[in-house]
Amino acid sequence: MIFDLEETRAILRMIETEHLDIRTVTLGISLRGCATTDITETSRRVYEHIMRSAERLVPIAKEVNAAYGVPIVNKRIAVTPIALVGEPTGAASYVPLAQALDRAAEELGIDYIAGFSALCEKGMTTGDSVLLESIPEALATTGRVCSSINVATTRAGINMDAIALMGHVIRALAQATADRGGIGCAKLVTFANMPEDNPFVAGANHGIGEGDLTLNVGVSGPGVVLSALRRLRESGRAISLTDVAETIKRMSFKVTRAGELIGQEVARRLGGKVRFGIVDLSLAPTPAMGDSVAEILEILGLERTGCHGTTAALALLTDAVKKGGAMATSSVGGLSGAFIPVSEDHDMVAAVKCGALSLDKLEAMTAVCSVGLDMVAVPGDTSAAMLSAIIADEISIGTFNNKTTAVRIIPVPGKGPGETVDFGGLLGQAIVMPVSKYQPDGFISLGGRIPAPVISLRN
Amino acid sequence: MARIVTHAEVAQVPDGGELIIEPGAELTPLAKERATARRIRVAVGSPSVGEDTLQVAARVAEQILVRLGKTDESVVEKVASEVMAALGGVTAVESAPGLPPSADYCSTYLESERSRARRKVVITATGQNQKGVVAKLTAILADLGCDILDISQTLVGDYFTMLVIVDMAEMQADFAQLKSSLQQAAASMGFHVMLMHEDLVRSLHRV
Repeated sequence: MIFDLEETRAILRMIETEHLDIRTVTLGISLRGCATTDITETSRRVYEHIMRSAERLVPIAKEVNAAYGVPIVNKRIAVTPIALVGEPTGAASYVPLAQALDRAAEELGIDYIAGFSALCEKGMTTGDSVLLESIPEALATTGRVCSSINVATTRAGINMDAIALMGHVIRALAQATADRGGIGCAKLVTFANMPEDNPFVAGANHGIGEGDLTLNVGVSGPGVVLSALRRLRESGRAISLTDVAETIKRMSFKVTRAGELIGQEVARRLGGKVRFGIVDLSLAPTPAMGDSVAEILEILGLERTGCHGTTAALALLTDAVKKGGAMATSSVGGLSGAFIPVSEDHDMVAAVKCGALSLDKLEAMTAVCSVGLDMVAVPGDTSAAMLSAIIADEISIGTFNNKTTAVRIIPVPGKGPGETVDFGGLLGQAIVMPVSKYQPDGFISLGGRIPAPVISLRN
Repeated sequence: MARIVTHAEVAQVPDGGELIIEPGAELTPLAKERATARRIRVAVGSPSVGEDTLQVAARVAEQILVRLGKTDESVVEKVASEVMAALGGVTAVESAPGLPPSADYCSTYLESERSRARRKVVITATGQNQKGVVAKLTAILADLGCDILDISQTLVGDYFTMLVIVDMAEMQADFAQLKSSLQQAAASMGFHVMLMHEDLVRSLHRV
């Protein structure tokens, strides 16, 4: 016999009680062929091209789900950064393009479509400016479109003008969706070193170096790692942190293998020009109990996430996840680390509620995790310059450490520190976190570019 | 913006029925394929203009021609159809206007599925030991055309476990049907059955 009972039982346990699932299969679609000099015509082509390319995504994901028994939670689409597609139109607003994306996603049964994006790490073209200015209306009038802006790379440095503008964009977007707690901002990410093949929204996009159609996969698995660590602790053996790292590696290996298998299968069944892209190894929490990254940190003996020691524990976790995952697939990509989206992780929310986790500690944690300040709620009266300064700090961590960092921050209209806002569904519930009472306005208004760090000189 | 008609819309039309799409709308390749498979006729036109309008158009044309002194039937028909076209009435199309197929998805897929070698499933059954468990479950497998490649059983005390590896290549049912029939039979004996694609077990546990 090639398998034993315990092996099949272990898989069933992972799926049924530990939330093992494929968090997302994301089809990247190149829209480079859709550019025309007329915004209406471009919108039409974008819509039609997406409908043609992705019409099988949802039915096939369901088929694979049924055949393998591993749930595929989300089916999503990432497209070429829209600023590149919209620029030849010379239009003053790209809102029609956002609406075309939204309509296609709705008709295909897809919850989020990402790529209303611009790449402006070094400078901004006319198209980039138009896109940024279109964001508040585009995201407020659509439900499924996500936007991401790259404002820095380790190679190019940090575009502080773009960051200054982002402060205003975020404020305007929060105001435009004020009736829903500023939820528009949950669909907007500001990046340093934005990956071109990230399958996770809101930051997904189909990079300009990609092929026509690429299928990328994002796995989940905090629940699986958590249960394995709990079993390790309850085994009664004397354990060290090396055992912990080893356990996480093993679990990450299994989770990633499941992701690769399902991704390859979905890509194969989609056929045609679709190529399998990458597996993003990130541990992605959900608001469900037992599916939390913060809970993993706490089972390692931290009383609350955010207390001293949290950064070290998170570093161990992220590194072990990468090592196990890298062994399991040859196609690692995207963000690949551990996500710490505050509102989407029930234990993280609890840590903010009891005062253990502050914005500053969160920023330190992002130096060793894979994303950044993610789904962070701040007071509604936070100024644009203050938002820009928070972004600039986070972006610096990424740029100067040669890694991806990002900010998804929501200035919740009409709410102050300690108040709760509920975004619903996967986005969860957030507690508004206080920001510094001292103003950074002078620094932000200087503008210009922070030169690329010396580590960028690698040739 | 031209409307794209997807397979979801085709699914709402009964077999052999008619789907009327407005002028300029296009069918996706999948929608076209499903419509053909289910013998659904696709016509272009606005649904409000129908047979009645055709008769009215014919009468109007006839009256005009009578007054002009011409009563040739074929001219009447021609004028009537031109009037209908101008009204944007229903005109059946030989083949539905579809988007050019970007890839022959469906046939490639079906072909590769059929010829696919790795179609194995791992089945485990556990429960209180009793007579006829193996017989009952393997009978179902045989009925559905499954080929048993490997089978093992262990008895710990009164607790019975069985592990079967089955080839589904020539199975006359799909995975879901196999699962439900096995689970139904097992439940009647108080057994628990789980089915898992071999690829999944292999990829998670083997390096």
